[in-house]
Amino acid sequence: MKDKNPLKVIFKLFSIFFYVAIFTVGGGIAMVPVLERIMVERKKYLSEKEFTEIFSIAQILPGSLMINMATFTGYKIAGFLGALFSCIAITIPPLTIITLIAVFYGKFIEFALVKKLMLGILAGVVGEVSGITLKMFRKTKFNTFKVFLFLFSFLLMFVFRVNPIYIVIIGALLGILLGKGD
Amino acid sequence: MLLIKIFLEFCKIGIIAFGGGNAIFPILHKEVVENLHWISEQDFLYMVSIAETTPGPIGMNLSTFIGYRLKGFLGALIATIGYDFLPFLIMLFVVITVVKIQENKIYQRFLSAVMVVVLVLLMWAAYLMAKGGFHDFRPYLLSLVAFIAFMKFKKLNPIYLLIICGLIGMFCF
Repeated sequence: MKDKNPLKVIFKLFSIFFYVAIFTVGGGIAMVPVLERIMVERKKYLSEKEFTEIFSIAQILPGSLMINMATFTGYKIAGFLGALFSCIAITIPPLTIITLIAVFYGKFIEFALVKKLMLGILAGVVGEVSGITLKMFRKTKFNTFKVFLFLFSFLLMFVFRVNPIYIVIIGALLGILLGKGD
Repeated sequence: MLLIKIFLEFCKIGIIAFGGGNAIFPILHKEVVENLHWISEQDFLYMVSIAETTPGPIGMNLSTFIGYRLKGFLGALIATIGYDFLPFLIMLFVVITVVKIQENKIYQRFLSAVMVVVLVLLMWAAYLMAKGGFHDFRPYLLSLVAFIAFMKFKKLNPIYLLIICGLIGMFCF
């Protein structure tokens, strides 16, 4: 992309991520195939291999998958400003939508029907989160350390109700000291 | 002053956000509902339903909403930037330095342990939502149906599943 006007490239990136942010409902994972189609197949900004690398790294770092992918992709194509504007583009649509919802939230949530709708969705979320958990369990390669860590964190969370931030930190430290990786 | 507090709080949550939006619930719940009382339990649960069915990352959507409830539009903006700020810097550092973080042995040990903790966080998230939101057997039954549908029909878009559940809730709860 070096031959093109950098401002033009940044504007292109901005519009791609803006589009992706509007049309992908349901968290970062839903965005991945859409972004891949645009970046790799249509615009040829990235090779298949580069995209896979970006995805695998974005997944293992903290934060929203969307922000991580936007930062990485944006930087690779157009440097720091590319990363920044990709992130801004991916933030504006959800920020606007949620702010609008928050403005009218107080009025609408008083309706019994809206409450029932929300409760129905929540029931669906509980079902899906259970499904996601089960799938992750199946994928985890358990060894003695991981079984111990699972039981230990379970105890801290469900019995002692420790702040989950500390459980993550304790788990991370134990992993670094005693774990074996995957 | 509150804006600075909002910013720092969401920075803290952003940097610990591993394993996708759903694993953030327990952390956000502990911090903003139980410790800081920034938002009520009921509003938090309704917001989860909204965040899951609107565009945008779930953790980011929750941050925006909580920020707005605290300090209007500026609060929403600051909370959202706070939530994304440190992950953005970390990601930038990784890209610029071209460190092969996925091949780093210590990072692998770190990550595989954190993902085990994420399992517990997800279980706790489901427990929190059910305990806080379900008042009779019907939502539990619907959850079970959603769980089975989610596992059985791999092609079904999870968003449609949630919307169907919402409509069932509207007419049956």
